[in-house]
Amino acid sequence: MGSLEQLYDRYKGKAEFFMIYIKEAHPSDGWAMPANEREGISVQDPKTYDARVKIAEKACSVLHIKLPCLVDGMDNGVNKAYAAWPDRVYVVDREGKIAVKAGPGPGGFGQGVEQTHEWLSKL
Amino acid sequence: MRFKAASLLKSTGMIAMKTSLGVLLTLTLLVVGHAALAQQRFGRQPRDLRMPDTLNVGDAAPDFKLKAKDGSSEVRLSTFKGRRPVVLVFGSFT
Repeated sequence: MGSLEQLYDRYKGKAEFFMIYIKEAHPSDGWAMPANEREGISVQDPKTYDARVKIAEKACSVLHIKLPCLVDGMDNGVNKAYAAWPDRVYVVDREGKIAVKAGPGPGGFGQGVEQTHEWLSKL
Repeated sequence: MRFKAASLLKSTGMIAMKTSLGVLLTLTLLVVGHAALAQQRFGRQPRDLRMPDTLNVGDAAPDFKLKAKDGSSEVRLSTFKGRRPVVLVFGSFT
């Protein structure tokens, strides 16, 4: 049922949306992916929080992400709590409980957007 | 004559054995070499970066306080409790 951006545009009045930048999945100095290099995207795993914030800023602008972007700390605390790496979608309901938990990315990402759409459409 | 034939057979067998050993060695080297190249090209395997997956639907969402990318504000998940649902999209550049 469309992309993440469409979901955001449609439901931003009903729910808060956050993009949370976590540890790089395929940094050039780690598990590099030729597909990224072909797109001209080459990112080294940031070693400081400031460097991480800069990459998050770049990612959110280059990828045209309209969602407000937050940045996980260097302890990867939120990534750990949500088993988020490499990417993942969750919905937290009004009571502060997990309402939707998608499978881990990259396979689970599209399905996560679908599940989120389904859940939000019932609000 | 019989002796000669036996010796011929034996040496043919030896050649065959040497050949199969050679093929085996070459194959082993190829496999090891390929794995080493793959390791060099792709770096560490990604699985060791996945975190233990313990959250379930219905569990209290772990609270967090994170900075926005512009550094100007902080967001605490629990401030939305009782007010609005929150969609969390985790990811990185690559």
